[in-house]
Amino acid sequence: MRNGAVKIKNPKIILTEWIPFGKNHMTEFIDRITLREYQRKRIKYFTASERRDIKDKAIFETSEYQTTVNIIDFIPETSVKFTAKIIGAGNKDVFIYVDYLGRCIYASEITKAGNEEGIISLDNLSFVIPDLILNSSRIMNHLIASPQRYLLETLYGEIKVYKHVTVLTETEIEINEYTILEISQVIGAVKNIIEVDDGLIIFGDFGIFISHRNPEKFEKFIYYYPFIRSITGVSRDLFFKLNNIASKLEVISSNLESGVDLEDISEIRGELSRIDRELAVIEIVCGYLKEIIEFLNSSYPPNFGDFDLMILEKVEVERKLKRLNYRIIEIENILKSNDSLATSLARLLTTISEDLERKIANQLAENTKYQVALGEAMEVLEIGIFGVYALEAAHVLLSTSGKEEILHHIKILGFPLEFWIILIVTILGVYVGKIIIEYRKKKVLKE
Amino acid sequence: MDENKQKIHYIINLLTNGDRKRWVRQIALFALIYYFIKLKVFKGYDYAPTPFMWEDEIKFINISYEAINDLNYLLDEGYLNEILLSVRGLNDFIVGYNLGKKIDYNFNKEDKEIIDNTLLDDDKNLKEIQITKEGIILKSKKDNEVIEIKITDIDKIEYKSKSYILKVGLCETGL
Repeated sequence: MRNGAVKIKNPKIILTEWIPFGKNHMTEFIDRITLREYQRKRIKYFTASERRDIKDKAIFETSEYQTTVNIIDFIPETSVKFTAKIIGAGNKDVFIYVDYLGRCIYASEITKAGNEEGIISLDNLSFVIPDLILNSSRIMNHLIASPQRYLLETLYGEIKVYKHVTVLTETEIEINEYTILEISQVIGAVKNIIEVDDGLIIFGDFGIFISHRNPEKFEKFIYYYPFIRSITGVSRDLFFKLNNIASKLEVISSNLESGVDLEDISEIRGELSRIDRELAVIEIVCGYLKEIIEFLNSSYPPNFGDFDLMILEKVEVERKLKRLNYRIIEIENILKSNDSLATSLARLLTTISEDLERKIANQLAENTKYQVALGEAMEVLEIGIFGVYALEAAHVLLSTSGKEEILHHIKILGFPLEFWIILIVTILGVYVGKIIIEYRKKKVLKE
Repeated sequence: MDENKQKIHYIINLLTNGDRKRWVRQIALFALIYYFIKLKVFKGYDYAPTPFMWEDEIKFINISYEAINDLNYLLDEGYLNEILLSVRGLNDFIVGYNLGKKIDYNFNKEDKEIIDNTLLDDDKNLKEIQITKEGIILKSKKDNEVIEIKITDIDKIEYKSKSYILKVGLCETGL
């Protein structure tokens, strides 16, 4: 796999992404990096941690991955150019540009890959790009504040693995079936090729490849076009996420229809609450997306020279920007319908859960009544048993005392004394039994 | 038809057994092609990490663009059929392939043997194929032999880079 014939000289890899933050977030981000205290000559380290307990610790530890930042240039609260390096990831320097529109550009020149120096094969380059993307995501994770990270993680998971890739080279490429396949390895399946000023711009699934003897000429285009592609990417991500949520809601809805128990209810409640959180993040991002799309549409064409405007026209940027307007309308509509479906399912779940709880409470009340009745019957029985034991005991004692005959002759109200003794002992037995059972019952209830 | 195209056709033939209702899932085929490239069954193919929606998650997977090119040829010329299956609860279509026109296979025997040994057990029954978060697992029902193909395992390459400082910015463009 490393014997590719297409090699390019000093390839520059430029990654572009739109970070879906509002202007306040972006200004805060730029401030954090450029504030006076950070502009001194000392090395500044940035890193992130998931451990909340660090805030209570006097001495804390961090991961070995830390980002250092060196400011090149900045406009306060507006944009910043800096180089960043992740310590712990091979000490690789990357140029980063961030502005208040949320545009982030990461640019590196690859000087060596595998055993190739200076002139690098596209085969090797294709294995460098994922690493550059992951490093750029790590750097951004270190630099942003925790609430901003929450937004990104809800959208992309722990780490964002794809960004728009621009490969810039001064090497001239001859286009044929083989070279197209080779180029696909670094920008995805090739969709379009345009010739510009004796150079080529090749458009792929996830990037563009520019081959021109003077690549710097394309900087403005790289600054502008991949940004629009990145915004389109975020709108696609939102659409995908919303469709995913719609599928989940559909499954929840059919589960509710087919009947659920209490365990299912708590599981569905958890799922709905996750969906709620995701919808809230999507709503926020959708707002930022709408804002940036409106801004780009209203400010088109940008303040570029004829050459750059000609390229933008060739790739139909204006039409692409207009199409983004329709995309955002569609996203807003799906968001609204998902939102109301999630709300109605939550309501339905509450009703089902209340019904179920009521049923269970009624059942419990019935059971309790039955248990009480049963308990009372048992008590009577036990008291009776006490009485029988007392009767038996009195009877045995009398018969073994040898005085039975004498007692038989003493009569009260026409009944022999023996009868009265047995009667009183039996009543006493019943009474003692009652007292003991009540005492035991009180003790158990107290416990 | 060149040997690589024949081999793709053969793999799909083996997996679907010529049945019109059976389809090989695209992601399973990609994983097998990656595995056979590593075993040098496909000569002249290489692979590159590409962002791909794998099991509803975007991941870098090792994709061969030469294989995709040949797959497209086989589809365009009717040697293979492609289906897009919409499944309730799933966001994306499931893509699958099965046989169109039949062909005679005349690629070398050693490669055929490797393909057969990978996909079939000793009794010539198809092994069970499971799709995982990282790729696929081939399981032989008879002797519990397992082959795990991790298509999301990306080769690391040593490289050196330096900052490429762009001159352009908000000031220069007014945007």
